[in-house]
Amino acid sequence: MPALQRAGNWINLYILKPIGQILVFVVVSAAIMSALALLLGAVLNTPWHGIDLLKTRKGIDLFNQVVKQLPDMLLDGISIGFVYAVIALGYTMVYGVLRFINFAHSEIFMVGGVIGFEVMTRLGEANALSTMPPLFVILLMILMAMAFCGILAVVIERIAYKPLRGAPKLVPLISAIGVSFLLTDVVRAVQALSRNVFNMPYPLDRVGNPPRIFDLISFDPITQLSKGQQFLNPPFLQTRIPLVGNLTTNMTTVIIIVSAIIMVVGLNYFVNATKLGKGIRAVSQDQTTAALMGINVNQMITLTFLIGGALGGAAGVLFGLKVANITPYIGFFPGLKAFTAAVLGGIGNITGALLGGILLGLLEAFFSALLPFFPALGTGYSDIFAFSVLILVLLFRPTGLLGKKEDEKV
Amino acid sequence: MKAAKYLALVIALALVGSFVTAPVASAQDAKVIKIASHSPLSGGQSLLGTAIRNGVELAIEQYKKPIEDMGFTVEFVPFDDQATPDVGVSNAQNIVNDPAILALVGHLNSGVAIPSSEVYNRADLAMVSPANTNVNVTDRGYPTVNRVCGRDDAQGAAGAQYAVEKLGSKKVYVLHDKTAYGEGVATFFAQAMEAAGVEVLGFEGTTEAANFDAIITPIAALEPDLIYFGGIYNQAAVFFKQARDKGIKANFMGPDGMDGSDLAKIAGEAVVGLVYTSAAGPASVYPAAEKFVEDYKAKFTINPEAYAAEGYASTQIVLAAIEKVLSENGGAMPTRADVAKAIRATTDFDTVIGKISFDANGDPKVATYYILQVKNADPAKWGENELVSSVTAPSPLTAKEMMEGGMEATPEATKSN
Amino acid sequence: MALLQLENVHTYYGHIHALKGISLEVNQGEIVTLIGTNGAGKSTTLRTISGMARPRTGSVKLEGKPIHNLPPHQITRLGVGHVPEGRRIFPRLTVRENLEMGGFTVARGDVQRRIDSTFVLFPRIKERLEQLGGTLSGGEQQMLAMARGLVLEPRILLLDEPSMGLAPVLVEAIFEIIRTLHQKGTTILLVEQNARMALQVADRGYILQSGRIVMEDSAKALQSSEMVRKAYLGEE
Ligand SMILES: Nc1ncnc2c1ncn2[C@@H]1O[C@H](COP(=O)(O)OP(=O)(O)O)[C@@H](O)[C@H]1O
Ligand SMILES: [Mg+2]
Repeated sequence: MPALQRAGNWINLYILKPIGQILVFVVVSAAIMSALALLLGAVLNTPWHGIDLLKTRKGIDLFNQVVKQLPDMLLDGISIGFVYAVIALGYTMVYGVLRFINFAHSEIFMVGGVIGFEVMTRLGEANALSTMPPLFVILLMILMAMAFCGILAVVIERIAYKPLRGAPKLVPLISAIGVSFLLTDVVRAVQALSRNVFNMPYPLDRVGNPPRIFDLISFDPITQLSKGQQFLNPPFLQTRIPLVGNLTTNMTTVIIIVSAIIMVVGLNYFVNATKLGKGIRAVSQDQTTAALMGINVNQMITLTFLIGGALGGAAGVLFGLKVANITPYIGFFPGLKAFTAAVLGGIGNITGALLGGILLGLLEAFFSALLPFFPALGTGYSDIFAFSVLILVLLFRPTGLLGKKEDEKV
Repeated sequence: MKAAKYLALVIALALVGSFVTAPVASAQDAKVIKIASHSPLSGGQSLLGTAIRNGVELAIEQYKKPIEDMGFTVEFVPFDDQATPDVGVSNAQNIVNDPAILALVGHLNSGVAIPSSEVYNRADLAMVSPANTNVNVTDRGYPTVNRVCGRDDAQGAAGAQYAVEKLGSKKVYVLHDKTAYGEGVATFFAQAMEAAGVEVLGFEGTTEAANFDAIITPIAALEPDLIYFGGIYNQAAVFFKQARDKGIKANFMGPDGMDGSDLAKIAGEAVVGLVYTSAAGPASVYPAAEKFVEDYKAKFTINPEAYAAEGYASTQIVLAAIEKVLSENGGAMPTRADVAKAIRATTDFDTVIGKISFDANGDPKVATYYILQVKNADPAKWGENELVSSVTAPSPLTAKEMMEGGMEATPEATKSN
Repeated sequence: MALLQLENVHTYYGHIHALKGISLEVNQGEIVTLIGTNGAGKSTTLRTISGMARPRTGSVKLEGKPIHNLPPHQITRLGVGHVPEGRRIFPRLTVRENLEMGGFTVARGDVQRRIDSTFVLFPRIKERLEQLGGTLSGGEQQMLAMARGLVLEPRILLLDEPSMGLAPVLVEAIFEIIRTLHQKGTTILLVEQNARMALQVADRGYILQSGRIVMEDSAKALQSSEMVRKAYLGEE
């Protein structure tokens, strides 16, 4: 009985509670954003003393437009927000432990996307994409990217940061920027030499459904394939998933959100419930004392880079699944946004990174989807608005949204 | 710790070393004539940039003999502008500082060509562009700047005409990439659509390269029947792919920047049916191109992408002009100004893409605009895209002359479909 | 053989010569106290033992084996527990997690038992287990710091000014605990500015002045020494 109770407690503490927290973040930010957008739509729709305040595009009912776009804006914002959040975790963990911004993290993320491309393309070349279970393919891509990028991050730390640990703060920062350029160019060179490509499109259309059990009996891959029947079923990732009402989303979005939640919950468990996780937190709070406890500080730093890199790699694959095409330069903007998300949530704070990512994703989605209706502005201004909000938040809370709260600072 | 430090040092040294030991410009030889190509050889648009480079190299190889017979060696010097204006301009400074370079074939991007040609023009260096369709490339009236391709005002109009007449478009959404080229051609297209009574639901510029979600959402809500992307394939393909995935059913259209097999490679099924205008016809429309395609494949083991033939044709013009200057000045090293003058004087010259005459601004007097449709998601079958229509139109200067001469100036449309 | 032995240890902070040839010994089961004014080098001596500072010359031996070249976490693994000056509680770990960090090098199965056994000496801590370390009072933090050091069940416990900044009642309590630990056989190297209290619990003592040991004797002898009484016990 007590064993059962303990298991219940455990599930409650490390699974239900963090998922609940994520849910609260998502629902509250989404509700606030929607309310603001609807309010703005309603207000700007009615001319004020006969003056069309923002000169909305003629003939468009802005309020109606907001209502029509709302589900898409929310889904877009949440799905990219989760990607930002997973990247932001890497920035925030390393910052927490070393008080150092790992600018190369955006390129580690990019490398994750490249690994995903390599795994998928190779499976495609081996004609395995359409026959393997799609979720297995995606899991394989994510795991490979996590392994590769985790190790890559550790190697980078050893070579480019560790020797500079005693140096002035600016020095490793410059080194990180250098590594970031180096990674971009190495990927560019390797892909140009090995495949002669710059664009790395994910062969998403070729990921098929596995044969259903009753099909399995009659399924003969050789003849099926020779008949040119590559897809047993419609492309898996385009499958529509019903949400509420007649609202649907595609499989990719579901995969992104679910994997991101699994990673956040997993990280939360690791950091709060395991000995090594607590060790990382101890090191982030007081390195010298942590060493007195018998904690190998270098090992914890390595572990932090390993986890941060692995998360970055996984985010790269998720991003690749979302955008369908990866290039060596893909890391820069998502990296910048994720870093912003980390700061917005309170750098060094894991929960903050999550909240910051979701908020930034929503801000971006709302602004760029609604600005086209103001001819004087346009989508191109969405970043300016999103970053204005960031500056505003930081003016009032310089430590970020959750920075002050005594939370698990890694 | 120490070992790591040394490892970093070794890596750094190796990197520096690889730059230092890169070939250094050989000593000047008075009897060397160099022809430069300048196009993106790296990055997302390198597919087309390399095609230009290869076209130039092949033409030099095949047509340098008469000049070499006059005692010169002809060298080919390719430059990489990375599709970036800054890089183009700084390369241009280096190019004009090499007196042996007498002419240049480039660029791919109008946004790079315009600032770079300011540098060339100050140094009297002639440029023949295989691909720059922006009106400002030639409208500045520089004696050094020429192109063998058409112009975006006519290209945009040709696209709009097809969209209205053949696709029956009533509501269009126009996107562009904020470059001189993309925004320029998109503007001409949108103007022509509006003039034809089509509702332009939106006109948006974006530099987004990966995640178009938020851009697609309002488009989906506005339900256009046609989406036009004024830009280059590498960006447009990602957009088209994501737009289809989000359930957008509208027709897709774009200018000649869509003409790269990577469009199909990235976007797959999403771009089957896409219509694009081009100032470069498929090889099949040029009677002389068959041998060119064969030679090209033999030398580079790949299919010639768009602008390979135009790069080749531009080089044919350059070499003929140099040859002419040499025969007139008794075999002395030609000056750049003379070469530029001879290039501008090109009249009814037979190239792989047909007869070319330049007007006073360096535009071809008559240009043909092709309208093609993507037929297959397989990038290897890009060359099989169907030519659905073509429009021949005079350059603005030629049209003016024709008006003054009392001749009919309206573009003559020949439709093969 | 002495449990802990320092021989002619010189430690520097950059150009600052903090320890100028320290030699001292702590035997099994002893409480040895290091007495000195502010800046004498007491903390540096402890830091040199636990590996936080490196001696430039000289040796630190634990049961005859040199440990001065080992990284701090390995020295801790050998059973050297260091309760640092200023307590250094992890402020954003709970009290329980702070205690678990004290047992970081201890086998998983043993940690809980050892944490429980510290509650005998520090019952107040048991009531605060789920509270964040940073929210404890100064006295509670000192208790937690000592308890955290004891989870290791160290072969030698280095205590750096455990009474600093505490109210007199709490100082009493701390020294009472030290006495209890002594009775249980714990070996302690105690650094104190409160020389009077320190000499009352200690078996032996060393007097440190600007990085040098100027006197060493039994605690009794030191208590009655003229020099010590004048300089450290505030008596005339
Ligand atoms: N981190 C440090 N950097 C430079 N000097 C230090 C450092 N820590 C201590 N010192 C110097 O070393 C000497 C001994 O200090 P310390 O061992 O802390 O003295 P105590 O603990 O006896 O008060 C002092 O002169 C102090 O200023
Ligand atoms: Mg001290």
